[in-house]
Amino acid sequence: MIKIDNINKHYGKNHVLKNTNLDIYSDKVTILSGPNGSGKTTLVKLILGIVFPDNGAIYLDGENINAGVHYKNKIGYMPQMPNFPENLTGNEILNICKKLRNSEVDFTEYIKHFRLENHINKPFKTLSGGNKQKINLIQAFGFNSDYLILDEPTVSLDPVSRLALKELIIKKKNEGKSILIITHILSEIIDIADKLIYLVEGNTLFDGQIHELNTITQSENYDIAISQLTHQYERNI
Amino acid sequence: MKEIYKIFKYSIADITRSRWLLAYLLFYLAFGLILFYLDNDFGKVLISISNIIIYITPLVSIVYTTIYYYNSQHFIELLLTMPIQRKSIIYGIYFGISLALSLGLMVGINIPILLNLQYVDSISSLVLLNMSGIALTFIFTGISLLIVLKNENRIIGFGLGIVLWLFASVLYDALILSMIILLKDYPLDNMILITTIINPVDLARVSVILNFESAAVLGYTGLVFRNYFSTSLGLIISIVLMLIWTASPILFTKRIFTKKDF
Repeated sequence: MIKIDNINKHYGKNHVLKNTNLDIYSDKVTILSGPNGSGKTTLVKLILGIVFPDNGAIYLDGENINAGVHYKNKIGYMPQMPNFPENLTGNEILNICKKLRNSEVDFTEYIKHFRLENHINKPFKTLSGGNKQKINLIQAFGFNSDYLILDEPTVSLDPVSRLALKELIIKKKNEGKSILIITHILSEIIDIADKLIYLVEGNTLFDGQIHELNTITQSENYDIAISQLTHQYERNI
Repeated sequence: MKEIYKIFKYSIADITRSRWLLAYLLFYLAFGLILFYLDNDFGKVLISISNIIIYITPLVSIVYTTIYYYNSQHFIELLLTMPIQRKSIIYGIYFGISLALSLGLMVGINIPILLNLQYVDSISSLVLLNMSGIALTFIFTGISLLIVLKNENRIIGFGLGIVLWLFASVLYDALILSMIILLKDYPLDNMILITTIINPVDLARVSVILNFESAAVLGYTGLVFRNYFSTSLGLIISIVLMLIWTASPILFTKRIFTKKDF
């Protein structure tokens, strides 16, 4: 489990995360969503150790992440933009990731799953946006990490690949992995999610099971449900 | 060390395939070949090359490092999510860029010399020329990384790099010369000496001059420097200072990188 304990983060005068407390459970697919500037990227960067908190702590399986970098072995991260070294091939990029993680995993299964066999040995700069995204997905999924953090994973993917991705997410969930998906577009991924965390201006507006959102707002449409919560929040401040 | 090597290896594999590096190499190659075609005097050719190195190497190091860093920002963020120390990432990138550029410089400079080996009469001058170019590459790669880490905005980062190059390579001597003219009635030797040490470009220039014993490339600062350091002690002092200049920017860069929010 990832436990976010009373985290605060400022960028200059901008208070991005305000006393945030969250739990991200294992064998669950959790969606982290919110409008631009809500703090979701900062939250993920804090978990990944790319950004440092002003105060508070983050625990991964009970261990404070400040203790060292070894906890990162448990996390597979897929950034939104697959901006990898342009002159290297997909295969070389995946090999770099393997070496940096001291791993001997075999990516063949994933390469086949995403139908990349004919593109994996081409220079990264020559690949289409979709194929670049697939290499991004493989480096995130390929290490069989306990936690997967996926930033807008469906961007640039065609419908077939999107479906393949969803199948993979479900498979990983069934294997007991914890998957955190950051997305703006709830409708594309919410059908496979268990939990939703919705942030607005650094505050947690909603943190619960997907069906609870429908119950609270009495709406079957997720976009309308979120919109209702947001309006309610704006009225209250 | 193992982690640094892993990052260095990927970074050098990426850069050595870049067209930029090839263009840089070809520039020195063409320049050297033309110089030897025009004149077979090894001393003159080396002085001409050293003059170009002093201006072009810092500029290329700044421009290339700036572009490389901003283009690699997302990948650097991905590297930060992996179980490796932050200092290994920045050292690996630094050595990758510096050594790839040094390699381009050395191949470009030395192929024309190897092709005209019969005219070579001073190996020490050649070694010093290479060392000055490599030192400038490392220094300005380090400084450039420092600038880009402090500036998220590409235009500001790039602009500051260019201003720095303009100042260190072009304006610095002009400013000192102006000061000397304005303060000509005062003893300025010590001040000139200190101002020379402050600027790594002048330091590189003086190191080369000391070895060539030639007045052809002397700026005023270089002249004063020679009076003080035309001994083996002078050469040792310039090497030590160059090493300090090489180490300082990357040590500051590492300090910033390990604490930075990305």
